[in-house]
Amino acid sequence: MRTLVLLFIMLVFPVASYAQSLQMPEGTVVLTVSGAIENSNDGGTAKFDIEMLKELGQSELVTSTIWTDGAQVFTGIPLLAILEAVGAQGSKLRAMAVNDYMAEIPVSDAIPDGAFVAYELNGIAMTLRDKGPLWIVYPYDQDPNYRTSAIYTRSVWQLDRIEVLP
Amino acid sequence: MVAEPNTAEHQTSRPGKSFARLIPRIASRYWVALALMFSLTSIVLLSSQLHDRFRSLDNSNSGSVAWTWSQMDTELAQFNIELLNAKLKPDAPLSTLRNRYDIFFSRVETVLGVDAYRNMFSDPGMGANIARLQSFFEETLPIIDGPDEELRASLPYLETQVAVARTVVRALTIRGIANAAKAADQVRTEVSDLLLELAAFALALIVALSGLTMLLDYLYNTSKSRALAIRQTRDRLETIGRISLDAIFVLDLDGKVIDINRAGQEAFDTRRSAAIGRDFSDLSGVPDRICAGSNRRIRTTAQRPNGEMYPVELSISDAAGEKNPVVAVFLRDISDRVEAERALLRARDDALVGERSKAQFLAVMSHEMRTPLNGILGTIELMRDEPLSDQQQGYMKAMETSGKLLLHHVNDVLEISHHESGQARLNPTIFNLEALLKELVDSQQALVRPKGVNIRIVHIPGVLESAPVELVETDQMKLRQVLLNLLSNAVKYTDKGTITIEVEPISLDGDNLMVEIRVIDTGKGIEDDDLDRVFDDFVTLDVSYGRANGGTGLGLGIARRLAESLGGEIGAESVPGEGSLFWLHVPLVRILAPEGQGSGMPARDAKGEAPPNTPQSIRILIIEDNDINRFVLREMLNQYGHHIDEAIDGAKGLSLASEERYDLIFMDISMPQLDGVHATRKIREAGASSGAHIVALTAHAMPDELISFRKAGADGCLIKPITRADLAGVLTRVAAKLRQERQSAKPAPLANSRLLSELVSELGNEQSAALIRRFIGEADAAVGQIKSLAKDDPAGLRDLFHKIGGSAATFGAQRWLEKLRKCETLFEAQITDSANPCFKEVFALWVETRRTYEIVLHSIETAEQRPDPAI
Repeated sequence: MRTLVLLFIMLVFPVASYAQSLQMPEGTVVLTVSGAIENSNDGGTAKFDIEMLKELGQSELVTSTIWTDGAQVFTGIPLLAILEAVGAQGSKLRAMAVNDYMAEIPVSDAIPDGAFVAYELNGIAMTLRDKGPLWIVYPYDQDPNYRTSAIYTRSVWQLDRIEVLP
Repeated sequence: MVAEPNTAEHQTSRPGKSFARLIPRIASRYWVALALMFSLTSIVLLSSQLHDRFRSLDNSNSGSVAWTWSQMDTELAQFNIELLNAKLKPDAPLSTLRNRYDIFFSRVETVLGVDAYRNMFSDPGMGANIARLQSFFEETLPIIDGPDEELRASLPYLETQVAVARTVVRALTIRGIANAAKAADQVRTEVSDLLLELAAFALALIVALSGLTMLLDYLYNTSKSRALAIRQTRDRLETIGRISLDAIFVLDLDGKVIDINRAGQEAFDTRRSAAIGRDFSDLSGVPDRICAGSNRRIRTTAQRPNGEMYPVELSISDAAGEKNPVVAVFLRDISDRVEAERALLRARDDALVGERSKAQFLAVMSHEMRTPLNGILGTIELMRDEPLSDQQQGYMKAMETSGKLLLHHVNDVLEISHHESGQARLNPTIFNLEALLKELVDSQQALVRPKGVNIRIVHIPGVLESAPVELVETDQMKLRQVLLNLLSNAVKYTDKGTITIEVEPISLDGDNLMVEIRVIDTGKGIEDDDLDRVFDDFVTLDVSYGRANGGTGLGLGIARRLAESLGGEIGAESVPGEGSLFWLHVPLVRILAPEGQGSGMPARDAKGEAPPNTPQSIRILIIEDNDINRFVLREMLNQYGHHIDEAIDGAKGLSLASEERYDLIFMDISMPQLDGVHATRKIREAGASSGAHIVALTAHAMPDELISFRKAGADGCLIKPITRADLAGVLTRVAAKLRQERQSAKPAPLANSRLLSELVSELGNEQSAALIRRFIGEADAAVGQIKSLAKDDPAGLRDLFHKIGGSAATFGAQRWLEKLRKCETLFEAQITDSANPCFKEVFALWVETRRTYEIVLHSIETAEQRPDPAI
């Protein structure tokens, strides 16, 4: 089943992306993707408002984190969806936060059920005070390999920029 | 062929020792497996432990704590900068300021809202500051979230609040980092411990694996060499099994065949596969039950496939000590051997039969030859007493020599047949040893004189006070032959120098004398190796040695047998090149020469010397049917001057002997009608000559006959031809016997002085004297009663004799006692005629005895008066 979804994503989705190209953000821009990308809407960068991200897909990831108490319900999209939306061609990503925190994420983390970009926590849109508006989380509970320091450093909250490095 | 490898396997896979070796092998395998399992378990446990530890390290995320703390300080500083910016630029939007505030807020929330940091609240230094930080947010949140104008107006206030918050955050950060460092240290220690543990496990694992490797290596080498050894053994056994000519079976304990070799398959016309599992007895036809428990070799039979039975030898050995005991049976066809044994037995039996007939033939021949020889030699002896010319004397000598030689041959042959039938009998006679030696020496003089060799006889007194030894009693013929054989050898092998015959009595027990006679030559000697063999029969190491005696080929062998049959021993010593010494130990009975006869009898060949003196006339009866022999014997005896009667057959001889008392009877054995054996028996049974010395005369020399003579009552036996020396021996013996009989009537003392002196010493003089006096009185009374009792009361007389005899014995009146006993005996036998003269003798002897006892009595009484005889 998962393979079929993957096939669908790999074959159909990019075609759809190309066909639609990237629309312009109408609301507040929450994420700017730059670097080695093929699709852009603002002179080589791709800017997303919340609605655009929500249009890319809306799924849930339930997991606990070391920064919160108990299981949390994250709502958002797989990182992979964003990369595909922008036609990312690199091998590494540089994820940056509002306070200029920066972490390097290998593109290989962007797999279905892998790195996840959340915009709601427990059904509420995350504000800056709640590590919002975007937070890269991993399914920590599903796989012990996600409970490592490297993964924790990649769990960038208050995310607002992604640079795709070739 | 197909069977062989398996056969070998059966035999090699179950040797006793390898099983014992198997036990440690299994045990070591067990330990190896155990060690491996332990190692593997350790590895797995260690891995999982390490994995868990590292995972928990990741979870704790302690490494990022310092970052989080410092970041809080940084975010507050950023907010402070934005605050200053907002003051400087009153028109600029306040969104950046608010974002910075939110970032700081979220940072603090992160720190304060998570388990990893919450334990810090218990730190009293931190709790107050955290409370201050919380009050900071309570003060500022409404302002930040309020309208821009109020925010802008509150900027200075916020500035003062931030200044306070910065000191608080600073303190928290420093404390938090310090705590984090402490936690990191702890983690580091934990990791270090874990690594140490890991190292220890790794080391243990390495050691265990090294040990394991060494063990495996050892086991490998051991098993390799063992496998090689087993293989070699198996190959060898395989080869043995294959090439063995004997059938080899391996059986279980029930006698079922486990394996069989090729020879076995061929012998019983079977295949290995068919033979296995069959009962051994069914297969082989061996009737015996083969069972384990004893290794043995049995002779039995087996059956060929065609039904023929044949003899086999089974060699059975079992390996009972093992887990799977088997019995190995080697079956060998011994038909040939059994056949050979049968043939040997037949040959032996045939040979024995042949030997017997030979002995019979020899005995008959010897008899047939001796009879005419008897006549020839006897006549020659008589002729020598006749006046003859020198020439005639020479002829006579030649005839005699030839005759004697012939006689020797006959004797030799007869001797062999005697000895071979194991029936050599002694025929003891009395003869003069010195004379015998001289005769032997003389007989050899003709041979040694041309060589210039001297023969001398040396007498050594030895245990006797005087030499030489003269009259002795033993089997003269045998002794002569032994000595002749020894001397002949010496003569034959001595070409120069001297032959010495030494005679030395070496022990004396009563009249039993052991004499050593040594024949010492200066000849070529005998090698040591041959020395022990020269006395063996038919020894051919030096043919001439063995044949030295008269050409019968048995010289020293006969000498040894003769010496042994005489009760003696023979031996030899030699130094090759210097000479030999043959010694003979022979037991003799010494006959003391009669008084006045110092030198005994003269040598037989000493012609013309006086005939032997005999102290008194002997009454002789010759019973002989052969005229010539009787004549010769009589002529010989005549010289001694004894009274001689003749009888021409057994019946006449018997009647003469019963009428007249003869001292000596010569009895020919083979006579028609009443033969010598029967006549002897009759003479012994009754008649005047029942006590005579009877000498059998025979040409039969067979031992059986000699025994029958003895049984019939003959005292001795002379083998024809009879020589003067033989006769002299007999006469001397008879004379000695007669003299002894005569002496034996007198020797008993009238009074036994020893007995009397004992009596005196025990009872004292007075009492002894009284007792003796009483004895004399009793005896006087008894003697007075004899005459009357003899007529009226024979029984009373016997009692009287008995009673007085008892007293005579007590007081040592021995001669009288003997007479009393004799009378008593006669009386009991109711020979009253003889008893009467006996009474007279009793009277006469009592007179003598009484006189003696009166003297004894007198001496005792005299001693009584002188109580101290020593003075």
